[in-house]
Amino acid sequence: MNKQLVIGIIIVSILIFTALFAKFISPYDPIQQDLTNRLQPPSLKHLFGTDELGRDVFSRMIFSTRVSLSVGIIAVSIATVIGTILGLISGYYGGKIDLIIMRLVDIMLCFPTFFLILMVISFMKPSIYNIMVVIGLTSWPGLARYVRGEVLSIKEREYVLSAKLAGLGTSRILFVHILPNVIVPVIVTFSLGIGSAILTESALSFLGLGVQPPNPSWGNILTSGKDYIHIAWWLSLFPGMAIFITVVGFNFLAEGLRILLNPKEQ
Amino acid sequence: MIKLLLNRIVVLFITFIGITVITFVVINISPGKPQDMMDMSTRISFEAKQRLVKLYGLDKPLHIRYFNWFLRVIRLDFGTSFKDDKPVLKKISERLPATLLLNILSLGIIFFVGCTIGILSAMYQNKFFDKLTTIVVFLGYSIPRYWLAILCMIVFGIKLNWLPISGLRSVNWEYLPFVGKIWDILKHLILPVAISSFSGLAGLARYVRGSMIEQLNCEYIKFALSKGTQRKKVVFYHAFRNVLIPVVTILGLSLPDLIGGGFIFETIFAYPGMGRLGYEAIMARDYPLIMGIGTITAALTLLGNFIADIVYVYVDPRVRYK
Amino acid sequence: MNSKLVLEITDFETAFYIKPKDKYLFALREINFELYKAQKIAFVGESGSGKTTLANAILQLNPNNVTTYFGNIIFYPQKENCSICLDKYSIVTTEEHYDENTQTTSYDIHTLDEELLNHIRGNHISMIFQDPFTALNPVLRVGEQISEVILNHNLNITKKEVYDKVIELLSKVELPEPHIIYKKYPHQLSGGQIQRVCIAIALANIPEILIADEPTTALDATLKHTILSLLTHLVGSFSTSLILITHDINLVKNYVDYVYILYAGEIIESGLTKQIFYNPLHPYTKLLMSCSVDKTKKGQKLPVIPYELPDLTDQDFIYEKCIFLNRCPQRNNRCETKKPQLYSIKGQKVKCLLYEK
Repeated sequence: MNKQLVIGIIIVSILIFTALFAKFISPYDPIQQDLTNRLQPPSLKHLFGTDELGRDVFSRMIFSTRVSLSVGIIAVSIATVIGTILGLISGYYGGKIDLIIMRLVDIMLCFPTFFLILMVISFMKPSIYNIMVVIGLTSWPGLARYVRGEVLSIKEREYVLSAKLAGLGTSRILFVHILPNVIVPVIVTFSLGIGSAILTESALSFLGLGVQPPNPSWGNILTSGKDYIHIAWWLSLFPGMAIFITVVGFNFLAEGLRILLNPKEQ
Repeated sequence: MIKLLLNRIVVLFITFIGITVITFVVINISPGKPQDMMDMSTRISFEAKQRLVKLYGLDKPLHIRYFNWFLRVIRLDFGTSFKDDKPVLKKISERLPATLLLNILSLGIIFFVGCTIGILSAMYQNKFFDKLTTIVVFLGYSIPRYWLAILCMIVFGIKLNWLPISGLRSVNWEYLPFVGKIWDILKHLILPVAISSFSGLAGLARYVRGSMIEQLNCEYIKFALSKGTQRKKVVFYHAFRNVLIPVVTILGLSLPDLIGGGFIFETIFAYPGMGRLGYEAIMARDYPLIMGIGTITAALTLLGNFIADIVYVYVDPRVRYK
Repeated sequence: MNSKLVLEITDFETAFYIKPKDKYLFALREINFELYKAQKIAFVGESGSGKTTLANAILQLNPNNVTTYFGNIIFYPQKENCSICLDKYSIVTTEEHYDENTQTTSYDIHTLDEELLNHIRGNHISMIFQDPFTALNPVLRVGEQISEVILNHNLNITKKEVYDKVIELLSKVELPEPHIIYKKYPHQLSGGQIQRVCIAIALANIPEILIADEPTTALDATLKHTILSLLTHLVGSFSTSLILITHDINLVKNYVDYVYILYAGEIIESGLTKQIFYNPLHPYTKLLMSCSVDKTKKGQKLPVIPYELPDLTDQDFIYEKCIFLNRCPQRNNRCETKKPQLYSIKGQKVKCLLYEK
């Protein structure tokens, strides 16, 4: 166990705990308005203050954890499955298939991903399910390219050649003999990807294209923060801090896993 | 060399076609696609609808529409905006200089500051400076940039009142003397440029550090030292030249991220660039404008990568003289 | 030897600090030797014997944040009108550096500052490395890399003079068409060609000492002798002293005057080349001689010296016992309790209790 992994696990566990038990932890109803207590600065009663409709920011932030984590995990699962499979196929078969997939990767990498997501989201009804799918469908190319590179070197190794000679089926060779060798970078990318998917989701919510009010999300609390930037600093500080810590947590987890699973690094 | 160049140009062209296909398909198959919008949107005048049907041939099959659209795109005809009937190209070209200014400045900052930090960390490996920058770089990687933008606006704009927080010019810009005009624009640029270069800078510093350490452990470094070359010269002339080559590619690859980030904090800073135009277009569902901006940003990125590729071939003798 | 002393290393030790284990690794111990003008000596040892560390130590090229040196490396500059040496000498000198009787001046290399060290490197002492493919900077032209060493040490020189000098050097190392080679990049040359370029760089300023660290190991067998002949020929013509470092004892036979056998960081035997070859004394040297391909009969397996090098972080072992103990076929009980000294037998020196007087 290394330092990074420990920090990562602690942060991620706290987040998961918060998401699961949001109902019991949060002191107030996250969408309950209280117009007499609008824009209250942080106090013992309202730990992180209240927003422009008098809602408790702390409670809203706790419930946001659910949205962010689920968007992160599901979106990245989609991207990981697509990226890994396309990378495996592209690297293993080579030739025209490889050429087509890699050209597609190049094209995808030319787009500012965020604009592509914005473009698609803007034409759909904003909902977290759409966001998950769209983030998933746009963030696989990097992983596919990486897996392909690894497969190219692995498929020339002797145990793969001997598996081929033994007459094993392609899918068996791919998933039993090759996949385990690329699983470490895939896991690391998974964890890193969650961080960046959460960043994307919060940015979309910030722009009003993600989670819709009155449902809370770190991103849309920040929107109020921006609107009341001159008077209510707490609306900007705390949700951003939450996103920051979450992303740091997943990045630490990724870094820690990389060191743990990579014997050479030790 | 020429064969290589031709090869790159062919790939460039294929990729460009791919970009247009994706832009077109994504917009035309997503729910809320333009022809659906035509029926429900009240923001569009009747004449505009008629013109659109004719212009885009919305009654024709997808591949024919794509082909017609593509033929117009290569003539740089993106149609007119839904909102104010201005030609899309004109709207974009009004905003493009500001965005290019922002991105070129950011790229410059990423390059110089990122390389400097990376080299210094590599030279003082595991010393205090290195450890500090490693942590800052790691955190810089994780920080939401738009949040950083808001924090900087609060601290430098509102609390300290040092820097303007929106636009590119002050309201009294017209009446300022020449030097004052430049200074005014510079002041407006500081925050957007700092924020937009932040994460690219962190990434590049990390890359340069790793790659410098690798190069400094190479035997040719020892040989250069054994020739009596000064350590400074060994680091900058020998090692850095080798690191510089891949840095060119990395800068090219960081373009989409840079431009993508522009959509969000150009909006935050009310910066009159293409990013904010794109955001406004998306919010208004200004279909021709969105497609125009999408195609042009992707094409610009492609061009950036192409230039990086050429520079790469030119600066690396191992590729040049194969 | 009546010739002038050029380099004198006394009671020299090198230790590396190994951070994860918080231990010191004593890579070199009890190193004593002298090098005279135009003398050619060889250090022979297997990998891990500390021979590269020794080569790097003379030019202070070991990673300086983890390396500690003990003892002295005294260098006696021979270039008579070297103004920088004279200038700098008056600044760094202490009385012990100047010998009134012989009127010679000297430096203790590892007390020098960076500036003076840079003056010595490539000018008074230069070095050739093992792998020609990694020795040159891949993105600089060969000509630029040779020019660099000339420019480093000749301040008032015109571009034309530098170019002419580079071309002259390239022809001296017997490279055909030097004008074309000048413009090439390292990856366009063969290993042998690059090693010639490295020799040109090392000899550009006619140094007093050339250290060649396994200069032929990475080359084809047929090239080895060509390159070594060229090297020793050029060194001879410049009256440069040569320190040849190699693992291949048979290679040095025809090229050097004196041989030092290095084992696990200690000199365990030294003598004239003839003495070492025809009358090896130390059990290790004897084994080393029997390992050669030349002496092994056809169809016979090559002999192997069993076991590995001792743990050089274990101070109780390396300072109290014979360093060759666990691999020695002739060991006895005393070898575990007493560390041998270098015993002199007809000018040949050997560090083994069998020869204790």
